[in-house]
Amino acid sequence: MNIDAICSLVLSNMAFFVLAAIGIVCGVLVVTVRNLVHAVLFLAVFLLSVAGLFITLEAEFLAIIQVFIFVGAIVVLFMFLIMLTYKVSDMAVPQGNRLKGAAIVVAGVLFCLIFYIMKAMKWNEAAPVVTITDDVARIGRLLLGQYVLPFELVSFVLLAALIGAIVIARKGE
Amino acid sequence: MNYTLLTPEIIVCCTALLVLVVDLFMAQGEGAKSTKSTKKLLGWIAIAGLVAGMFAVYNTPEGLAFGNRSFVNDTFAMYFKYLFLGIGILVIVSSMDYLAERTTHHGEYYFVLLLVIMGTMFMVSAGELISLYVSLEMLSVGSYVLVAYLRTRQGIEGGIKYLLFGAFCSAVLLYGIGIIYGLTGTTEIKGIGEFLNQGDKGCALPLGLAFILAGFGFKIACIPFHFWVPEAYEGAPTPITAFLASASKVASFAVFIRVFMEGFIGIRQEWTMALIILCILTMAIGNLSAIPQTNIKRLLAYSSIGHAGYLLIGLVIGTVNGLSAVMFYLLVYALAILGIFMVIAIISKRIDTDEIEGYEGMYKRSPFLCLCMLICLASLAGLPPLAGFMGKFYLFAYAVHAGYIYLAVIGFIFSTISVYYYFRILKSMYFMEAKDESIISFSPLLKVVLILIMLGLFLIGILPQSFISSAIESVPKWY
Repeated sequence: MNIDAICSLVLSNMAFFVLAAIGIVCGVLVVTVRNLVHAVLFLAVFLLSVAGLFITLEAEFLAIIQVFIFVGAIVVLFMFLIMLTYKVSDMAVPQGNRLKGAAIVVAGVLFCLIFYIMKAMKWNEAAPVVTITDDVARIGRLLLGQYVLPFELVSFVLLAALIGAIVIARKGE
Repeated sequence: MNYTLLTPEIIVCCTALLVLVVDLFMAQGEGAKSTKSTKKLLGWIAIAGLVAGMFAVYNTPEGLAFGNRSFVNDTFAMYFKYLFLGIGILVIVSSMDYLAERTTHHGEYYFVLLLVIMGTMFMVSAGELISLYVSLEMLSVGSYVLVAYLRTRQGIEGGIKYLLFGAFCSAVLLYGIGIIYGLTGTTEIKGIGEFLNQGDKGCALPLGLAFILAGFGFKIACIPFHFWVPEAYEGAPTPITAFLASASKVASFAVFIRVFMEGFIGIRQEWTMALIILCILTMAIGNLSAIPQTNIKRLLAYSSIGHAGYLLIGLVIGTVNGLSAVMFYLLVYALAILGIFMVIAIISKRIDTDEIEGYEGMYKRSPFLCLCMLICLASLAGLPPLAGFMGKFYLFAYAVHAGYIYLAVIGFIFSTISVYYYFRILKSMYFMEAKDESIISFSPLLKVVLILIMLGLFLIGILPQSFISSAIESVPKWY
């Protein structure tokens, strides 16, 4: 292995660990800080770190979509929601309840289980690593070819959700 | 590509959009009267669409609509499509009466309901996990909306619980699908089955299986994924409760059967034990929790959990006979539970409560509704000569035949217990004194539909042969 390869390996590993650390810290903060605005901001950083992880996996299209939709749309939506909700924005909201301990234990056990299994599992590593350059075109072809039915169905799911949300949030009769 | 196979779904979808557009142009009616007839018109359009859908199912050949298996029209799917369209018609008939004075927004209600019915139809036709997941989401998202539709306090509470729990379970299901895809390299259920038969499995398989089981367990409302059921059933508008208890459960069992019998049949030993435990727990906790309930919708919610337990017996058996027994049981269960909730919807319009106390002396107020309730409850409890008896008979007989005698015995014990709490409702209807003796009147349409349901329960109970053989024919030869 030449020095360049080692350097790029170290760098990509470093990128992974840095991004993962940011993600975990922010993820924990999202569910622990008492100010909702701060929680949403940490959520944005968390989602950005996931987008970074996608880039290290060479899934650039996914990373861009992640930034567009999650950071760009959903976090902004959350922000508006908090701002428009009466007095919630500057209130300290307790995020835990009395089952916090039990929840942490269950989540921890589940995490260990999944971690152990994923570690012990022999994934199909023989598959050749190919660098795909036209992934946007491929995804487009898949969505409108092989997966056209679920793709079209999603539009109706969204329509149902949209109309449902409007009807439920309407002003009194 | 053969789009003609999608005709029934396209008809239902177009009906949904038509309802929305008609509502848009007719909602600004001048007087109260014209608005009322408009609302009825919307219901009739929806019913007409569903009837047309039934004819379309009849005329649709079997086959694959796309190059892959994302839409499979086989006898299995067609059996369930008839069932969903039929359930849809009954739910809309009940809704037309129930909604009349409760809300002015009818168009959106029928629109979402029709889309949900379309979702169930795509669910049973999905031979591939991605389209299965998306159509399952369509069912779920629509159901969340419909549960909270009337915005009563309980409705909102039930809707939020359903939404939070559903979102979590849907994520778990998706994780499971991801793991299975990582293992097998395909999302097609048939391909997964072929891959797993080769014996090349990894230790992540049980994890993926467990996650998928949890996702489906939530939808069929089995223990321990049942926490949303009592609140959602209690809070939802009664016709929607009927829909959740029938179509939603039927569709979830259908995909459960398809995924586990077509995809995971080669690794039966890995999940049969888990299914047996879930099955016994569901029967026990569902039926025992129903006993102390005082609200009739909560009582039926717990009893529907118990019924999911009986149905799981058929999946444990896993033979063609066992599956046909499940399909037959789903039919008779859906018919009876729809009848019951239609009666509850009519009565709640007058007494304004769903507590069993309110049903005291109902015999004097409407003998017909009481008779209907009696027959439907007796069918659910499994008393001969009603359809429910034959449903349980086939299920337990095949369980004994397949060597699961203890499951049949446990099932029998708990269905005996269920007789007790079903008859508590009847006791208060027939043997208690009425506080208010005014007659409960309702539209002739509902009367005709209820008579048809009762006749159906008798007919299936006395002549079950043609129904069970059509169920047997509909079970595909997956193995």
